[in-house]
Amino acid sequence: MDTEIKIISRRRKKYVRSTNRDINIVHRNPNPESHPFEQAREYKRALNSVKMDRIFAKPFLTAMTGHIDGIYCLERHPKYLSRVVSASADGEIRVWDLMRRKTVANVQAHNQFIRGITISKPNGNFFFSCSDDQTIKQWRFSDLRSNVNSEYQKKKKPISTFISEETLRGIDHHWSRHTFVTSGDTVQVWDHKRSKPFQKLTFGTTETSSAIKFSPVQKNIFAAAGSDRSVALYDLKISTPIRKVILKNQTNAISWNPMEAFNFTVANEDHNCYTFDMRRLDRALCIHNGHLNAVMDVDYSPTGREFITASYDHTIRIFNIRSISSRDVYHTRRMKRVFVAKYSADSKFIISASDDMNIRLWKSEASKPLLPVDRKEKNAIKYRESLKKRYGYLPEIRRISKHRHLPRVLYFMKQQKKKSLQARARKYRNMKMNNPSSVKQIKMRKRFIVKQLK
Amino acid sequence: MSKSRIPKINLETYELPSDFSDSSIDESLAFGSSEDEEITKYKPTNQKNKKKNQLSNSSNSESQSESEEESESEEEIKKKKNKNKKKKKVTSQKVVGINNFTEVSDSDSSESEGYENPRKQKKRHDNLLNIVGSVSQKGDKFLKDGKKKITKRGTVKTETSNEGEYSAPIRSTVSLNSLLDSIEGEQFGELKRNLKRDDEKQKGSKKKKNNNPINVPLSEPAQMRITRKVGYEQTKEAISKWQDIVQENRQKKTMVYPLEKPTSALPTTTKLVKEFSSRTEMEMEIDEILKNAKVEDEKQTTQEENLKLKKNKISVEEVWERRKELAKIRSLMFEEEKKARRRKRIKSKKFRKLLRKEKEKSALTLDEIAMIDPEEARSRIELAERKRAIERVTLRHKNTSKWTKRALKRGVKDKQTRDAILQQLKMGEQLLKKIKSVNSDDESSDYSKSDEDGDDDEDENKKKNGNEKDIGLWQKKLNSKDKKGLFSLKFMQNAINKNKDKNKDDYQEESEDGEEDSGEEGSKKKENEKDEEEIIGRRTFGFNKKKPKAFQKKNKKKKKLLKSNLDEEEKENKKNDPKKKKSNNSDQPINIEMENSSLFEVAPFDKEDEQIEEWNTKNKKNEKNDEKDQKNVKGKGKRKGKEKGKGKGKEKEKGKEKGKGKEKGKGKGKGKKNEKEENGKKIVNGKGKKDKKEKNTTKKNNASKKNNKPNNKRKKRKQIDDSKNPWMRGSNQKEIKQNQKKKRRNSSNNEITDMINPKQLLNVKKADESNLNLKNMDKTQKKVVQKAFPNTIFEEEFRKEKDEMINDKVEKILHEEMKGVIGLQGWGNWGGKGVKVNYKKQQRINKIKLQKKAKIRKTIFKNRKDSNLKDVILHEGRLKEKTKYKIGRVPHPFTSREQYESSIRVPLGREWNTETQFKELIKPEVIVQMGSAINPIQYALLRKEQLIKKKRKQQRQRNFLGSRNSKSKKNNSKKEDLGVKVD
Repeated sequence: MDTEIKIISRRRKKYVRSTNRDINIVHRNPNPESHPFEQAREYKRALNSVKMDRIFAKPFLTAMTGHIDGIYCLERHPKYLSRVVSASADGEIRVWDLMRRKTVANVQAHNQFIRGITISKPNGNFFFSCSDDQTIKQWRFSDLRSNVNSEYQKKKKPISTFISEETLRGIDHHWSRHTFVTSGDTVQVWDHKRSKPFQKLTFGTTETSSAIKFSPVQKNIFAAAGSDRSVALYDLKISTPIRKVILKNQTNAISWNPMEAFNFTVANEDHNCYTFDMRRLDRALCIHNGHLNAVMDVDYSPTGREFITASYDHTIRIFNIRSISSRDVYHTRRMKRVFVAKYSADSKFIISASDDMNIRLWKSEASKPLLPVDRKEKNAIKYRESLKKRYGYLPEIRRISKHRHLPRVLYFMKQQKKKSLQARARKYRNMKMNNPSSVKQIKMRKRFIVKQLK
Repeated sequence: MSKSRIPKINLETYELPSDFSDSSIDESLAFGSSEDEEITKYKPTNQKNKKKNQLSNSSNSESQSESEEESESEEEIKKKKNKNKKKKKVTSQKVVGINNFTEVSDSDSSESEGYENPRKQKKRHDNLLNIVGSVSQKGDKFLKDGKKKITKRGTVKTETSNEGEYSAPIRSTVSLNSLLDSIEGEQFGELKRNLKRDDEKQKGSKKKKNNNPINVPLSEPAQMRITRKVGYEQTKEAISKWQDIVQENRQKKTMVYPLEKPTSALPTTTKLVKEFSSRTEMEMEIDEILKNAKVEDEKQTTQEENLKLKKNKISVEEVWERRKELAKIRSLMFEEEKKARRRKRIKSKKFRKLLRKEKEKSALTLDEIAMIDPEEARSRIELAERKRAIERVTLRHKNTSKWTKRALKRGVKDKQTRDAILQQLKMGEQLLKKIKSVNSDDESSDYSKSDEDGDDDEDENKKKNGNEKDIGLWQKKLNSKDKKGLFSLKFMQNAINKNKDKNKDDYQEESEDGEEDSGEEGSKKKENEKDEEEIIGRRTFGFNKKKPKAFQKKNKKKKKLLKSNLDEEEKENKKNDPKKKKSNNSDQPINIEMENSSLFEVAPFDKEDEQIEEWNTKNKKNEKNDEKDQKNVKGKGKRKGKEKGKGKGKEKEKGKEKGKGKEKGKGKGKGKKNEKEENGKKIVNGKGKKDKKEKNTTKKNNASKKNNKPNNKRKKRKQIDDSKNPWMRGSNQKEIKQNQKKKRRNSSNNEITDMINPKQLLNVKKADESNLNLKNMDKTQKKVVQKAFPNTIFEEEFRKEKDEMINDKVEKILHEEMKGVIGLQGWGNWGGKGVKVNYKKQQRINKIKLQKKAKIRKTIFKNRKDSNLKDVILHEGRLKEKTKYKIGRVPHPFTSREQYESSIRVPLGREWNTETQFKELIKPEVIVQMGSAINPIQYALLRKEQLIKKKRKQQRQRNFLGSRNSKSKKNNSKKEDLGVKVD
């Protein structure tokens, strides 16, 4: 027989790099005929990756115990990723090391409820705590070490104490100056080295404000949430309040977008969050719904792409800044009302503090691996991610990726809320149909705003 | 505003609530175009509104001073510019409430303090007068209106003064002009004219205003409201500078956080030291300890160190010398390093070999070591001995390994494996040989022999076992009578002699024991020994036992050729030569050797091993067998030759031949055993030998005629084997081809004949089939496939399917329609057993049914789009399976279906894209550097980056332009540098 036999031959040169710096040779058959059904295949891959995502979604990392009362304040350090300060209702402050997952320092700071905690901003050497006992105390991190020598133990007292004439409900530090503001009957502006506030800002009438937050980008501006259901903006530069919006329900927390100077989000009692543009306060940019009880806290991711909300309904939700519904819901059986939730400085983790006296650490992306991954795996993850994004609109993939298990109670609450909302919508529709003059057409994004005070 | 990308997606928009069907939701969203335009109106670049601008500038400067120190100075510059431009005007009262206003006026006053322009002064004065005038006018106005009654202020005197030279009553306003009039001289003529003009102008413009009185100050809340309003506008403006940046960042495909690039330079130690503060508990404790030890401060430590240094002083010359020395060493080391590096890079095998040899040569010999460190030498000897012992026990190099076994089983064909096996065996032999020498520790003769004989072939091996060689040498030296150095000393010699005697006694005892121990074998050996004694010469063990005889005969002739066995030869020679005999200490070692040899005979050998051993020795030493043995071999060879010769012609009888081969194999084994028993010598088996050996035998016998047959036969066998083996085709292809050609010729002959002979027709066809080429296969295969699966079957099936589909539909419709004709089944009829069927009715119904069916069918055919298409089934209506892949509406960021579809069209995977494309396509939206805190965006930082980019661009351009205009451009760049700093 005169048949030719093709011998399988491999030349080392063809598949082995000559040096480490050489590019990786990837053998690819460019003939499209050998790779048919590309859409079908990629769809399948997307589907698989979505399923895998759900399988590997394990966001909860740890719960850290130590406090003996509900934790109402939590602040992350601007520089050190693993440092977090928390304060509970019994007046205890604890400094945590997230990496070791334990308390690094603790101090009985106040005798009463601690209302707010803030860390001095550019360097983060100090932190301030304000309490119902009308004092603000300044602490140095290095003074608070537990179980060191007695000499250090002695030092466990504040560097300075500021006594306020008014009640204090919240505190926040300026992002670059030695200034901090407190909310209460009036908004007071303090300096590190002055015992009295050097400014008091009011809208004329006395109204107590609770949450208060400096803008991290336009540093002279800050916002405060008042007990008169208002959100007020202040400008330190001209040392006046500049605008106030009154909403239908009270606001519990405010957070500024660290990448988009003019946008901020408020956490409202009406289960929703509202994102505002500071320049147009007559309507919200977006309404974020999903919670089934009052939203207690909101915090932007340092990337400015997402934010988390902590709610009275025992859950944490993660929202994309431009989407209505949440991207993810975190809950555990033991976690009760969540009062605070904060992103870590690298946006990879979420720290939550709740009524059950625990601080919990979560991954911000539930199914992402924590450990550094191989180059190939990294590429595979990226590929899966982009496939998911591409085919995410298709019903099957959408359904799987959106599905979240909710605790039984919450599930029924959700159903109930849905029903009530539907009923309201139906009523509105009927009214519009039968008696058009009685119905004022207000845009959805303006409905929750009562008025703007100039 | 939105820059369109492909596909154009309006990313800036916020998602709308899906569950609210509220149509009133604002579609022009947060960053819609209309709003942005509105915002841009507020931008400070709008210079028409100077008053506003001034305000904003001042406020801006304040804001910058807080956060960005750099930009402050820039703002100041701007401010100054504005001041120079504008004419001085006191801003209207409306802005009085703003705090900033005070600042503006302050700056004005400060300027006026510096130096006073007479013109300005005049203007000021005029203004003052105007204001005063307006007050009175306003008062009049109020009176006129009757809203408020205000007493005339003009008449009220606050100061008592007498009329006189210095205090004239103010009845009419004193104008500047009137004052100027008194000035005379041509110098001031122009000034006067200008003043007059100004005066007229102001009078004309402010006539109306002069009539108004000052506004009543607003209430505080109102004032606050105004401040707030203005403040809000200002902050809006200030914050709008972020608009573009935010837009840009949102449209970026990927954002890498943190935004500030990591500094490439590592922090210096000084910086680290400076910033260091003890954080952990341990650090703090150490801190404390240091404090207590008073070495915390750097100064302290240096002082102490200096003190210590002062104690051991060195002269300058000494230092210099030391330095020189060090420099020399360093340079030498460097050179050496260089050399070594170069050497390391050389890949030549030859070079490596040479290097290795050199190394071995230069390595310390054992006696040298012994001179230096006798303990070490002893340990080395021990080590070598141990190695030998291990070799003895394990026989690692005696073809015990799996690999060799397998190789031998399969028959060693290629040279490489053969060489490898040989090598191994050589090594084993070497080791074993050395054992003898070591065992006969005192017998210097052994060593002297082995050492004196330069074995060229085994050179390498010897060098490998350099230590072993050294051992021999060393021991020899120990024994040698004319000793030098340490050994020449008397006490040393005494000690050595003592040792020797002791060893001798020991050995003798051992040998006696050995003789007693070895039973039958021992007796055999004794016989052998006797033989050996007759022959006189050194014994070899294992298979080489008989060799000495052969050597004795052809010793002189082939001395040089028999290299591998030189040791033995030498021994023999020495034994033959009386002179050399003298050099041998005694004959005892030989005996001992022989005793020891029994040990090796006991050592187990596989048959294969034996074979290989034989074969090795044959090849290596070119050794010849005893004539007897050879005869045996010849005889066998003859027999086989005959047999093979018989079988040779018949190709078809291969199988039989193989069988014969097997028989031979068996015979061979038996023969071997017999021969062993008979002669107590090794017998080389003719059949087991490879070609070479057989050739040897044939040469020796000159029996070429007889042996040619088996040779030829072997060739053919090989051919056959090779033809089976695809790898060997190359070698024998010619022959095969020839064969094939022959075959073809035959077949073609057959073809010619088949026209006549119908019997051969069948054969020809068969041949054709067998000769089918791959090329022909394609066509034929197609035909076969066509035959096997004719189209008609498919078509029929397809038609059936289509028909069924239509029929189903027809049936469905018919069923519905027939309901009207028959009514509901079971109604209006009797049912159950024994009920008569009304055939007429049924017939009628059937008729109707048929008619209707035809009708429906017709209509369906009419309506169906595929009724004219023969090979197509068009599914009309919704397919449930495919709903999975369909979206109800265009998803949020996309504006049209086409847009969405185009976004999906290009696949992402590696299979469809190049590596770079793939990487680009899968880039995530957000990349966060591991473990780094992300700081909020900073304007100053962005500005800096922009400027740096600009600078780089300019630099590139400059480089491109060349060096001619370099001077002027350098200046520019300097300015830019300054600019950066200012920002």
